Amino acid sequence: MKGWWGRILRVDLTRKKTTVQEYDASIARDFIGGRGLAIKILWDEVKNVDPLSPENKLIFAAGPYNGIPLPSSGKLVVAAKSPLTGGYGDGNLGTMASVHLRRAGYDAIVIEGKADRPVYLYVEDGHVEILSAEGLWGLTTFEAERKLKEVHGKNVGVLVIGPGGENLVKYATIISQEGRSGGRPGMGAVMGSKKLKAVVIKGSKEIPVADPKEVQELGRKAYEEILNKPAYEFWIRQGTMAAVEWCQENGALPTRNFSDGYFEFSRLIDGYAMEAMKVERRGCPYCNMACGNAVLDVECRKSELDYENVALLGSNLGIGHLGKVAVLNRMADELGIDTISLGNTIGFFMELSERGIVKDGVKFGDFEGAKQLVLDIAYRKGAHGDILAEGVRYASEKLGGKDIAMHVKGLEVSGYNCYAYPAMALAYGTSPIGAHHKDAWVIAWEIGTAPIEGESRKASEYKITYDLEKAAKVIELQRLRGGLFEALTGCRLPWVEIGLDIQWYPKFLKAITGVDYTMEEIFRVADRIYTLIRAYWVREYGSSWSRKMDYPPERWFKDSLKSGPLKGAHLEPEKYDALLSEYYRLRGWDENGVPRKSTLKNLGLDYVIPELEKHVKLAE
Amino acid sequence: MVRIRLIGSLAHLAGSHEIEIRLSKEKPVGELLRGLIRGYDSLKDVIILVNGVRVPEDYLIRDDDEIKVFPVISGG
Repeated sequence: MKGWWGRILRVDLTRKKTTVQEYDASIARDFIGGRGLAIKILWDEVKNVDPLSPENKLIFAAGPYNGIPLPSSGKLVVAAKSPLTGGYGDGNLGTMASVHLRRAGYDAIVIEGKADRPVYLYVEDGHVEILSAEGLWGLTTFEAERKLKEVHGKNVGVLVIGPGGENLVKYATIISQEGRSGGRPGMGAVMGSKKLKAVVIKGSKEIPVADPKEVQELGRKAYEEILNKPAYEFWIRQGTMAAVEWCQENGALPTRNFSDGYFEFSRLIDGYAMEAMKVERRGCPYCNMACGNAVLDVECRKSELDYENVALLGSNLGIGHLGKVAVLNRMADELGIDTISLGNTIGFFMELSERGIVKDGVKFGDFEGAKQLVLDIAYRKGAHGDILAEGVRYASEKLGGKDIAMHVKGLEVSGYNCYAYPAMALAYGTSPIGAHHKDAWVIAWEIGTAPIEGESRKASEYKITYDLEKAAKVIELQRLRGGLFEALTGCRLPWVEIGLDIQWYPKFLKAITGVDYTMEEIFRVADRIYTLIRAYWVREYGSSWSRKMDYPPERWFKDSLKSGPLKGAHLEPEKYDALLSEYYRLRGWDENGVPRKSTLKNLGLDYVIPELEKHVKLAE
Repeated sequence: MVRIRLIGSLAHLAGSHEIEIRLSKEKPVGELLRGLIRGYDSLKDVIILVNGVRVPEDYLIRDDDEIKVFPVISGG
């Protein structure tokens, strides 16, 4: 094989053994890598286990695109069975560890078992050691990475957990380079449950590609195309933070636990506010449109800000001061906790406090109270830290407020408030890890596609529609954003934000691997990945699986927008149901969202049939 | 006067968040924007609102209209 190593580093922390496993070329071709490789391994090897037990496997998965100087290729998938949702969990982060992992000669690292005391993994090409993490356990992610680089030098990739992961916070993530974070559904907790503090990788091999000259030439042209796009300059200025203004204008900004879509202080936390405070720009490996904008927070520390961090820890908490939001964001990165779930959970708690359901709680806008909650959650202390560390689904069962708990499948909703956006609600409902926006972001399309009809001047107000083509649009985006880009694995932002032609990517794949994927074949790989992930959820949930798992939060149906031009907007359950049924029909899944036998066979997933049939009846 | 409010990258390309223009006669809104926003034709798409409602590019605007233009972002 060219492009793929066909090799996985297997680490058994219980037996203190490491081996190199070769995997079949057919798996590489059928799944490409990244998320595709991860779900294949989880389907085959992680069945109905407790996600925090030694039997769960933590997977760091790259693909043929990684380790090679191509646009924004410095990304890495991290996956496991999720302790937060009980289903498939993954994340993706930009990190030198992606480059080093591939240059060390592997496509993935799979970690199983549990160490008897805190350890870290050191990989240098073919040399692998399990080393003591004494002196590292308990440190923040920033401190631990610094210490590891003092020992191993700066030219390494580091993946590390903080106290969040060590204390098994259900939405603990894995951090790299003081602010890159991945694994929303508790991948950090899985790592912590194995007593694994960090993975340090150093790779120096040349990755064998099919056509090295072509790879270089394609890269040169694609990088140049990015620089010349009209969207490039403003992207460099604000990155994802441009979304604050955009969402505010369209009633989609999560405000005070998603109770509204407009925030009166949005100007104080938007991209322009960030620009005024920016002190540094950071990026992922091999990216020429770096979007990691760091500001100085009110404690005069650097904090790398993205839209999601600011929406969930700012407007969602009623905190209209970017320097303070940046503190909460930086604390989350240091402690190794997902900012989205953290902001969502704290916002939920604030609303319970406002309603008096929680006495002596923390109210909206209370920055000091929010800071304390972040620490309480990371260390599972205080009156509510332990409960809130479990996420909103659990917290709402224990404390009340299920009607205002904003999650899908147990994963907290990210930065888009969907009272007026059914297609985006469907995207959240059907995202493979629970509520996440990565796989399909359709709000601009929804606003832009309402048919223009009516009077002679041909203008139309935005209407909330449930046209069945919205289901097709979500799938179209999932195939690329959640399929292609998560399998390569690479950052989708050059294509999706700057406008880099999507046709580059099959060309890259051909030059790297020699395999000439058409876009249709890429879609098939993506469909295979999505259906296998769906089969995984069904197997793990068994008889308690139902289509209700694909519903967005009830708040978007029962409550409504409080202000702005779309005041009063909300979703309608029967219409959402029809849209969901259309989604299932297009995916070849039955009325319960379970893959049909014919779909499984069509995608080469025949082996799934006998296993799923142990748990549910499969439709033809 | 026509008042044009530009959001995000469009404000950057036009050099201003708000622009006022006097129109002596009706004009297609796309043509007006093309003259204001650098690189307009190479942009993926824009969302144009006139007096709060969405319009296509050939919509004719008049001197008292309020225009708001959004870039198509992709949610990161």
